[in-house]
Amino acid sequence: MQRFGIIIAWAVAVLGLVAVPVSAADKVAGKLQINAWEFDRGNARVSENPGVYGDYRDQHPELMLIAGDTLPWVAEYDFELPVDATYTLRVRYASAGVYPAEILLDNKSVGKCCLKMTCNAPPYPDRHPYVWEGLPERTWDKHGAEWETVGEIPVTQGKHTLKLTRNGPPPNPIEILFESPVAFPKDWKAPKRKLDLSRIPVRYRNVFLPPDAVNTAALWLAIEDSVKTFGPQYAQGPRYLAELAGLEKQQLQAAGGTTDEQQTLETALKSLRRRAMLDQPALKFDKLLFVKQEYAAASTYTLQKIHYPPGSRASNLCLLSPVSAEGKVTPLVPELTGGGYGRFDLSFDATKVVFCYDKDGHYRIYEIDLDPKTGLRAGGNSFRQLTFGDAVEADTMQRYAGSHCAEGYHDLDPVYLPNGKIMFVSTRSQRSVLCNPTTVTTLHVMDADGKNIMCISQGQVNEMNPCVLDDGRVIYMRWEYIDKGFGNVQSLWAVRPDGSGSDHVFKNDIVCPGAMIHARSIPGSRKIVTTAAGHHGGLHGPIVLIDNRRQRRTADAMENLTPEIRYPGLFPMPGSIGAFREPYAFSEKFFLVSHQPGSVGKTQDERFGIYALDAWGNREELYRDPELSCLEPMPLRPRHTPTDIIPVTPPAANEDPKLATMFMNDVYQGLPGIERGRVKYIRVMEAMNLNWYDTWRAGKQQDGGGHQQISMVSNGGDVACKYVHGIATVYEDGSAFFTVPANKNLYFQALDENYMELHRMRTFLNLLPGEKRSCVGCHEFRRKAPNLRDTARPLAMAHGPAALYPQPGDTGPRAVHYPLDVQPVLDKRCVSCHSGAAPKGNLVLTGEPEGTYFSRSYMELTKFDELTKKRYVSYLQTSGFGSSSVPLEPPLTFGSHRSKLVEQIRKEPCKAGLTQEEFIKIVTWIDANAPFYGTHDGKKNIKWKDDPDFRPNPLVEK
Amino acid sequence: MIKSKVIFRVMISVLVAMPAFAADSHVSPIALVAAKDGKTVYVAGHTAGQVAILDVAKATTHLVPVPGCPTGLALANDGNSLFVSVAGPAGGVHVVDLKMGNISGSLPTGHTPMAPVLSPDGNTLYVCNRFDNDVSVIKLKGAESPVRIAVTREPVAAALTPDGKFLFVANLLPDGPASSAYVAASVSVIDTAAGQVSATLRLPNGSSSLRGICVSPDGKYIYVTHTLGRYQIPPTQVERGWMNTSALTIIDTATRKVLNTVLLDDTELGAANPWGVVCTADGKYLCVAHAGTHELSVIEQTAMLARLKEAADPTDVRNDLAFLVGIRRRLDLCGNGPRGLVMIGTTAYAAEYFSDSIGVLDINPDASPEPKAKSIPLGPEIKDSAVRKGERLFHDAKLCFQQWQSCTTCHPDSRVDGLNWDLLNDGMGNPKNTRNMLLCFQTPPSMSLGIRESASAAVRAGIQFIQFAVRPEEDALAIEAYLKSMQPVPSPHLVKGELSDSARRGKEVFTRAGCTDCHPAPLYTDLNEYNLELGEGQDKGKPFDTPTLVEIWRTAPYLHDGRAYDIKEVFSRYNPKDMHGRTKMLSPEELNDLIEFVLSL
Repeated sequence: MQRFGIIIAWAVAVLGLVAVPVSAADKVAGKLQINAWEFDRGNARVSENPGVYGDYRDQHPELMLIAGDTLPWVAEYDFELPVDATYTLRVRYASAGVYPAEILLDNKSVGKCCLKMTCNAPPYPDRHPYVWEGLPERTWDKHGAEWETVGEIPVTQGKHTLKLTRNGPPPNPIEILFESPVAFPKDWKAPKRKLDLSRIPVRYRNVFLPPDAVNTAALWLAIEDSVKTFGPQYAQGPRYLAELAGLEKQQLQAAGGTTDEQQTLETALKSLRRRAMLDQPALKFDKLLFVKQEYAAASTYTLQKIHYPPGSRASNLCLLSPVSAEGKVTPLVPELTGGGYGRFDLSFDATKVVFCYDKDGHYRIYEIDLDPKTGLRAGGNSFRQLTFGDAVEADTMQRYAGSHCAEGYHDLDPVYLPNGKIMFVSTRSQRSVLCNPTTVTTLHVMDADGKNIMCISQGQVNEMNPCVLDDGRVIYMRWEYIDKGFGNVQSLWAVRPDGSGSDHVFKNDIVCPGAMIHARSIPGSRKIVTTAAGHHGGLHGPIVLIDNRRQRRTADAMENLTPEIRYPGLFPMPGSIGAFREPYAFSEKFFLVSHQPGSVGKTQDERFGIYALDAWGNREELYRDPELSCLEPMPLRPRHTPTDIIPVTPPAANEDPKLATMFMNDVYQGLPGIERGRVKYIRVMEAMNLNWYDTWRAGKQQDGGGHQQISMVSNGGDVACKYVHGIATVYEDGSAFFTVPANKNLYFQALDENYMELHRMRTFLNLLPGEKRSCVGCHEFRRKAPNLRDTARPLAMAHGPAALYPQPGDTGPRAVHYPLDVQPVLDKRCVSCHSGAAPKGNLVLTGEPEGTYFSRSYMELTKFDELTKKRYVSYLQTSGFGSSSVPLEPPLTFGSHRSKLVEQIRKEPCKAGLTQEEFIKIVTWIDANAPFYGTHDGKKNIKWKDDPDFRPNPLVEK
Repeated sequence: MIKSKVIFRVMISVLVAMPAFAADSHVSPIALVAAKDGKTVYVAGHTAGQVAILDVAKATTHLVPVPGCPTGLALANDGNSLFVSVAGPAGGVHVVDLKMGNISGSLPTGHTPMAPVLSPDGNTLYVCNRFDNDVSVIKLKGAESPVRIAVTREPVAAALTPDGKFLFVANLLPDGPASSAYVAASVSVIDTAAGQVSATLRLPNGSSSLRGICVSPDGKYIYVTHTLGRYQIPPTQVERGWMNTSALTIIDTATRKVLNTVLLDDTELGAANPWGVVCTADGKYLCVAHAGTHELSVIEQTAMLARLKEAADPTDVRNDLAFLVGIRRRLDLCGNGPRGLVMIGTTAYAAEYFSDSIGVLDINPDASPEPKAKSIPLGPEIKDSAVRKGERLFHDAKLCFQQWQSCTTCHPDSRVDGLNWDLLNDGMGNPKNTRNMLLCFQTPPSMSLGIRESASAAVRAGIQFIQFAVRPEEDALAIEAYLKSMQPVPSPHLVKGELSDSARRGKEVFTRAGCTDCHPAPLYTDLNEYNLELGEGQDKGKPFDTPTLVEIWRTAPYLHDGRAYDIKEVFSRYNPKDMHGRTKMLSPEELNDLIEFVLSL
């Protein structure tokens, strides 16, 4: 219940922000709004990638204008106003650069619009690095397009023309608004703007057509492409095209015809679409697996158990054969009829299926044998349960009774690996979500028989939907947030089957969509197909193709195949416009999906069927169950077994079993604005996990809640405790070579000579013991191969691998803990001036408790001053809900170099009193994103102040 | 037609030396040339001793036997005769009379001639003598003796500008010490009028295995295919081109300077071992055969040149795995190991070495229905022997995680790439020079520090730790069979197969200087390890495996880290304490004789 309370509170805050336009709203008595894409004349084009600039706050259609081929760029709008008035003219736009456009009313200039870059458009590194001074602290927190007032313009009643033009690349206007202080007549309604489909890219016309209407242009392209691709294998293709041409002609003639005529025509078009799509050569196979199940709209951020609720009447893993609407459906697991089926996978030779199923409140993994010839169960002992509960699970259930950690284990989403083992996600790692009282599923691996279960990921928050890629790696959704917003970082990552080589695939810097789930390889292609989902609710959304060969940091790599559904951000997509999930790709152009064309999950009649979908957005139902949803379509046939990637060699007997090795080729690859020679060290940091025990105890002690922290850590900075493992030397040529602790959530900071952060990696990396990995640079583009020097080998190679060493003032690895690191320095050096009745600078730095969780000095240093729009220390506010602070930021955007406190202690009189060690303690704390606590131990709430366990210092790890 | 007495004599000697081929032998097409009318493609069948003549319209072939193993082809301007270079120390170019279907004459060349190129007037034939490191310039009219022009190292491909003024010669391997900061193979530019090398263009650091070269139809650019090895950094991974990348270097013909180098791989999918390269006649497309991944790259030439011009940081282009995204298509072939490539219209013909076939694919993106690649077999299908299978796997990058490299990427022709690699098997930060695979099974242990007890172990470790893949044992066994079957190529320092006078004297010196103590015949290694105080850094004080000296003439540079540019440096500069043979006492003549002997092995 607490969760929903929070959501409602947030939603209220959010809606407050959404209310547009901001100023003078109370004076507006009438208004005319024009969508920018609904222009009447001009050479502008509608963007082929709508939705990417927006986040959950944007409630408007987001088709935008992009450059035409000729300049000047022009868009003209005819409109009519009902009253004479001095109108306030506003434009809403999103612009990646400063692209001011001239705005003309009836051919007379009335000024310029789109005068600046909106913070929402970050194709880094083209974005101009903005300066700290003079900007509100949370500038980067805004991702929505922005409103801009062009001016107050007297306009007469009647018809007018507005023109936007620019002799250069255009901004991306979204809406134009005339606000009148004079009331509009009561019965006045702005005439509906006529829609010119011809200027809208073919696939996007679905956005403007009625649901399920045939997009004739899209169908034409699809058939034409199949004729070209398949030739005689798609023999009826030319006939379909002729039929379509005839129907289109009739459609033109019938435009003014009767509804009946139009209906007949639409029926004929639908019949053609059905025949043309289901005749695809890709569909010429005879056995399809799917799950028949009640559908429930769950979340990507909660325990996945509730994704697949038990209780479906006849749910089962089923075979459809032949593959047609009339095909025979056979339940394959009569042993487990009804109840909760989760994801399944087919072995590469098509003889086994592994799946997860909830029998007694715990999802466990099961396996059946199939006869690939019939698709039916093989004889003999062909049903096996692979995972089971154990004494540890029983103990946790008893120990944590009453808390969210008391559910025991759930094993979900199993997939066969090329090495014969099975990967799955499980709560066996006993971790909790840092910002919400739910448990975490992380990647696990077990032998084919269910033995030797091993957790292979140290992930902080949920991981789900592993799937083996064509190259043998496993793609999966990884949620994480190192100094980032909490939602909207549910990205695609890949690991090797043993958990090594974890690597970002796509979305970590992109706000929208909130999550990418159900990702799969596309045969013969480097692209990936996935479902775009919201963070809160709904494991469904549009189907998205990702081509990340060129770009992983911007949405340019995404292609929405079903653009009538915009990318869901923090919240799920609207429930009424149909939804997609679980794409299976035959090629870049043809897919099977689960699809529900109407509203989702509101009534019993609303359920998913199996559909064919193509790259032009055409879709056609293949099979539908009269009672239950049909999910996860997958052909039952052998597949190519991908590369069996070699596992990491564990450390030898004479090597440290807890270490891995990192080599950095050139730290300056990807650090724009940082001159060579400035980086002296890499600080190896860890973002620590929250385990069931800590969550349970924090809950009992009421040691959390504020800033969405289940166990309180910071004043709106990161929710994870931070740990400094040490530093490594960066040589003059940018190379570094060092050992790091294995099996930790590591991230790195590039430091200057003063141990101050120049840049921070806001994601994490796991290494296995003995793993040896290398980096091209810091934040380099993922399209880059390591650069070769023409003068020498990397200098660090001659010296390493070196052990991490403590920075001055440290004796070894340690947690970042304000009361231990910073307060003693303040007490010694600062408090004499900054205390008492008249503290210097009106700043009190004494360490007595203040508020429920923190201390006086910590609150003074971390609080946001509404007057100066600053804090004493610059850190990234992560609790700004959901979409905040996701995109990559340039170096020196925040941290010690941007902190007034550091500025102050680097000059007199404060400087003199401070030792280097003390200075380093302070900047390390700031660059750790200013946490207060470095441990979940003890009791934090002020109500426990007399308890011996009140706010203890962290134990030093041995 | 060709009446030189010299030529006739050579022809006789070649015919006498002609090996007998079994009827069921593999064809192993390696190079092709197309008739001007586009109706016929001629194919050099390397292991069959045949030239296959493909009727393009009928897709049928007939075979013309030639003595020796064909390595390259050139067609006379009148289309009536075909010049066929054949491998071997005596080499030679046979002239096949296409009307009569027989050999009408032969031309003398150096050791293992390759890539014959005819001048525009048809009067001069240029031939790369791979193991003599030079180019023969053969005047086809008159009795003028051929001229030899020295290039850098193992010339294997050549292209002539349309005006015939400059011959660009691709040298397979880097020359120079491998321990230096910049190690790369080069393209030699021969000024044909002056009859000399006018420029040696060193490709980007790490360039090796240059295989293909062509000139754009407008004559403005030379395109060279090669491997770009990121050899300076430890091979902890292969993703994102961490070890080997596949590259295309563009040379500006007018200035005869390297314009830039682009990568042919994708971010997460290598395109290993680029070989043949050719443009469509209209210059629209540039096409590259990938011998390791059995596919073609089809690049829009104009768009690529435009991108190069606009590149924000031209020096970084060679690191950009996405440079060609959107203007290059990767098209799969049906056959295995495409090497030579020709284009007729928009149809590419590829010499599919290991599948004994000609791959055919229309690269026109607008063709409907979409063209599918097909393979025309050059003979009856022959089941692979273990040796042949092993050779195929050794060259196949599909074994490797994400197809970045095959064994042959670092071991071209199963020998060396001239680079130092910092393999993890003996620690990081102590790079070693790539070693020859010849005799590896007879000369355990493997690797410079003897890290692998045998070549068997090394083969399996290579698959696991260099290709990052778990493979069935039968793959390793086949590769073993292939490596065991390797035969040494006779040294170019031999005279008619015998030691030269100098080498014969050097043989005595070899014993006298104590070389035989550790390098005794016939393997020229005693299989022991010695500390010659050559180790540095982490390897200081460590003993090194004694390598065989067989084929040492082709495995420069020398010593475990390739610090010695040539054998002379081994005996002089890097033998200060006389520990590596007693060479201090030798006179310059004796030293020369000794070197001559060693290089003759």
